[in-house]
Amino acid sequence: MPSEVITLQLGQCGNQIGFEFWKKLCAEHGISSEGVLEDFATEGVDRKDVFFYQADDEHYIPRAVLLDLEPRVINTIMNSPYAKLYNPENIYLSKHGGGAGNNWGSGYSHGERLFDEIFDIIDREAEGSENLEAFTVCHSIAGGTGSGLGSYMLERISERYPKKLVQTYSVFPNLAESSDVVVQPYNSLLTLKRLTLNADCVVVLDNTALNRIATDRLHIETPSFTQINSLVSTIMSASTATLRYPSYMNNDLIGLVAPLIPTPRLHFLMTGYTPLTNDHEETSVRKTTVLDVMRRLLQPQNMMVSTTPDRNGSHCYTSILNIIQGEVDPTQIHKSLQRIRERKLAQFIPWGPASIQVALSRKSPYVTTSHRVSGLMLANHTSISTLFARTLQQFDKLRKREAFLDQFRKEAMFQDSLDEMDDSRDVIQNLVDEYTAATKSDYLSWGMNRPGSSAAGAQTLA
Amino acid sequence: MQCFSDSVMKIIRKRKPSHSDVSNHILLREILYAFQGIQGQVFQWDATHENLQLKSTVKLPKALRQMVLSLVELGWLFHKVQKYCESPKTESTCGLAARAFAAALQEELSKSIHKLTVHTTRSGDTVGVEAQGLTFQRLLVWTKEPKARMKLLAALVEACHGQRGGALASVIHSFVLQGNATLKTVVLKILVQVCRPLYEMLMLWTFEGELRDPYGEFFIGVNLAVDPGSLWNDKYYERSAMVPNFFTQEQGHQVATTGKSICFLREICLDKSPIPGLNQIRRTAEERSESLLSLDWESIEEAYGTASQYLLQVLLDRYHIKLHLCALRQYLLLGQGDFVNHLMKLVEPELDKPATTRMSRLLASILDKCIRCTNSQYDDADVLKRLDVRISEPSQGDSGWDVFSLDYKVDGPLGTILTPEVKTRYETLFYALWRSKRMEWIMSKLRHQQLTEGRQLRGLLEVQGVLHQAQLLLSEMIHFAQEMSHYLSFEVVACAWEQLSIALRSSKTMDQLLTAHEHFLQTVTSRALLDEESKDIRDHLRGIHEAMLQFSQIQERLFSSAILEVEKRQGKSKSTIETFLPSIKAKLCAISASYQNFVQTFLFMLSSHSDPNLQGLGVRLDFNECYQRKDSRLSMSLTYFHRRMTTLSVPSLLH
Repeated sequence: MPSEVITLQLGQCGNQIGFEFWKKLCAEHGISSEGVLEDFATEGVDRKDVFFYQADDEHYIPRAVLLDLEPRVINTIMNSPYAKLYNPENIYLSKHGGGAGNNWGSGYSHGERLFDEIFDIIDREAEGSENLEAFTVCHSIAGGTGSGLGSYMLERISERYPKKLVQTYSVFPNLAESSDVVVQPYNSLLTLKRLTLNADCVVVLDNTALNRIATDRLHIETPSFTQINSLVSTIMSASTATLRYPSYMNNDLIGLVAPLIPTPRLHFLMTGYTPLTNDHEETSVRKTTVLDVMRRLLQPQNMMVSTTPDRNGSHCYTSILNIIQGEVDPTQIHKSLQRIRERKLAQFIPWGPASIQVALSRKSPYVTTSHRVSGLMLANHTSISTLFARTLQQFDKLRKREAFLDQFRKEAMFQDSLDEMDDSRDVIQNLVDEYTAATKSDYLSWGMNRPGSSAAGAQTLA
Repeated sequence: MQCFSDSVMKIIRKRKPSHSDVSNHILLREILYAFQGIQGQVFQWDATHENLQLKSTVKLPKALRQMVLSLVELGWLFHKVQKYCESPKTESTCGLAARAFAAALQEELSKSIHKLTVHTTRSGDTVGVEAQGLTFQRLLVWTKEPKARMKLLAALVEACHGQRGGALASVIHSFVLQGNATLKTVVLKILVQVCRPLYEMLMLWTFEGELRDPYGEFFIGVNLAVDPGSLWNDKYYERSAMVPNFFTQEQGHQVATTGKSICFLREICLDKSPIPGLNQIRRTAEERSESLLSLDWESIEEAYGTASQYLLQVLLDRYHIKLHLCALRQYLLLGQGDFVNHLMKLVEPELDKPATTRMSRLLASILDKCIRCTNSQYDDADVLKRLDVRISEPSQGDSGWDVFSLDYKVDGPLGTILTPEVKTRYETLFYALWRSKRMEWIMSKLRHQQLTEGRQLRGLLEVQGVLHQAQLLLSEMIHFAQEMSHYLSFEVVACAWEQLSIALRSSKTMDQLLTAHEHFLQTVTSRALLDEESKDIRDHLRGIHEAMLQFSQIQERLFSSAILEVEKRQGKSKSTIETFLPSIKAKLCAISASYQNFVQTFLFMLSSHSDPNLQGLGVRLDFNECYQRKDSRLSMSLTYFHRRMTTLSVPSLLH
């Protein structure tokens, strides 16, 4: 089968969002919690084989590898109705079971120790697919396992599978409330370096924004993990819709990301989704038009990333892809785009052509929703760098005070020096600089003026 | 006329009959003969004028002479009609209607003669004795009506000269509209007779789809040389001259289509079963009408509706027309994305090679493989059976890409809708869409290379600048390829398909279906820049594609050389960076400039295109007005004034 994708779920957060993702995919493809095709699922227009493979006994099994250093979340999965969905050989739980203690360094060195066992699973899974196109990593950047083990895995995968794309769904910590993980800025920064250098496309899922959406838009006072993760899985399933429901365009991951990423480093994508409503909530009576969907997707309150307000107004979109699902009249697309252009609802880069791409995709016939049309926006917007700048600030605050570094110094990587931290800082500073440069019309000559600057961090890795 | 006759009478009365050389008795008798065109003592046949003239030996007073000649005119008319009646009988090519016309005329002639004979005999035992009551005056009165009638017949004959079949009926029908009720009755009577064979043909054609027209008089013709595939379009055709002028165009078309539908069912669908309800309609039609003139159009219209709908239903239900149209969209117009992507990947190594006709077997097996491992495997078996590859005759220097296309095999009723001509148009569309798809594919591959192989080059600081340039140029190209693909899939195919689907749902007849499909093809062709108007702009698009292909080679070289350089440095061997980097830099600059030039001209041409959809494409390609800022021509072109100017001056600007 062409363009298969293997999903790696790392740590608590990664496994939680992965769990919700597979639940959603099963529902959309008419696959039962035990991997059996439901009797009603006979339509045959969907491609199940991108994310599932069929075992000899006709069971559909996710191309997923579940990794964690502590048992809580994986045990929950194994006690759920979906326990039999996964290939048990693909679930790896560290025997120590102690977890990474929310420490990036610990997660990373766990990775080094578990390399053989983990890559036995991954290699087997990769060999089992005919035309593997990409790995998708689900993780959080703030804790220990998702960030540390995740970073280690990203490095090894890009070495071991240099021709495969690596896409991640990375959950960024909620900065609106104080975290119990005090070393979160260290963890985030060290992970961001790997996301910059070893991933090809990062879908940023910002917990700050997700919580804001849950409270403001969905009117949930104290959103639970499950509620937030259900939002995440909605985004993940919508962003893979064109891969799973073939149509004229965007049928493989490279086709999806190639137009979104102008240079290999500027690969951090924001998402927006509409309609954001509770399932119980009444939807408006008026029929949703393509223009409605596109306009809503451009509104900040529907974005899953909380960027700092742009004081200079110079931040802009490098590219936008709207995936619209449901009953849509294709003749309306062009008119809607023209309206958006006339009203200048989106500001684009000044140095090259850019526009809103629209992909129409099918909606699962097996899942009923209260709305007829839904839209997902995948966008590359330079203001995402404000998120990185914020991480840098927090990192600098801690680093200046040399706070909470003891736990890190225990790990091999930081025993001799904290160079790795400063190197990571450079990589992220460069990333922020490049995003800023991309808001200016002389971005074309940016590379010439600063030869090699973007690779500063890479040398230590190479 | 009346006044003239009275005055003549007075003159005649004044003069003694003995004044003439011939006695009135003889003269009257001779006139009676002359009525039937028979020459005798007094009259002789004038071949040049086709007329009876008084013999030069016969001297008559001027007034009498005039009266006699006026009477004899009837004979001339009689002769004229008689002559027509006799001629078609010998010339069978004139057909059934003409024969019926002659018969009807003959009948009229006989009737007239009979009437005169009755009159004359009533006035005496023997023909033409003045004393017994037959006078010039009486004769004048008696001949008045027959003469008018004969005049009409003669005029008919004159007008109908050389006319046959439906055309003949039309000519005769044009005489119906006249004031004289008696004459109108005469014309109608003739017309009914003339139309009788046509009526039978029409009923036979309309209700049985049978053409029994040995002399080609009916308004439907058959072209037997045509192969069955083009039955609908070419085999049966309308002879517009033969459509009776008392039919409306629509009525003629309905008759034609009804019979054609039946023929189609019989000959192409091999369905000999009776069309439900048609016989009942025929009975009603026959009850309500007996001639072409009183045709029950309500029944004909009903027959047309019944036959057309039945045919359409057969095509939809038994031959799954919609399924096949859909398959054409999915395969020849590249709608089945996963299949197309995978096919592109699988055939690429083969099509990069020089074209040969031997390729087709290998490509067909690739096609099978591609079907098996994409969602196409779930497609209808009949559709997959028809799907094939086509390798057209390669010319010198062609690569596989130039000759490869997908093919959809059609036969039977399907072949009549998707005629070879229609298939050629699909093939043209395939080439254009496939080429655009290939550009998108190549651009994606290049981006993939930048993302994955690019990691190996991070340490090579010297190439970072040129890499950055390549990345941004590629972004620009990807943007173009994506917008183009997007335009082709939505604005061109999807929108036209939407219209076609609506039309298919509301179609009641085969013609409506064909019209809708034709409209679909035309829309798609012109919007895809494949019509005559877009020739120049198409050349520019080719230029853009060429630039993309050249860029692809430059990037390949950049990466292979740079990766080699990295390996050399790791192995501490001598750097060769100076041997490739400057030339690649220069080439990149050149291709970047030429690409942008092509795009800007392309946009300029789009902005002044007559099709608003193509203007729309231009807007989409420059959505953020990036090219407009660089090129003053483009910002100019957005003004109304400029658009008016460019419609006049654009051809000169292009060359």
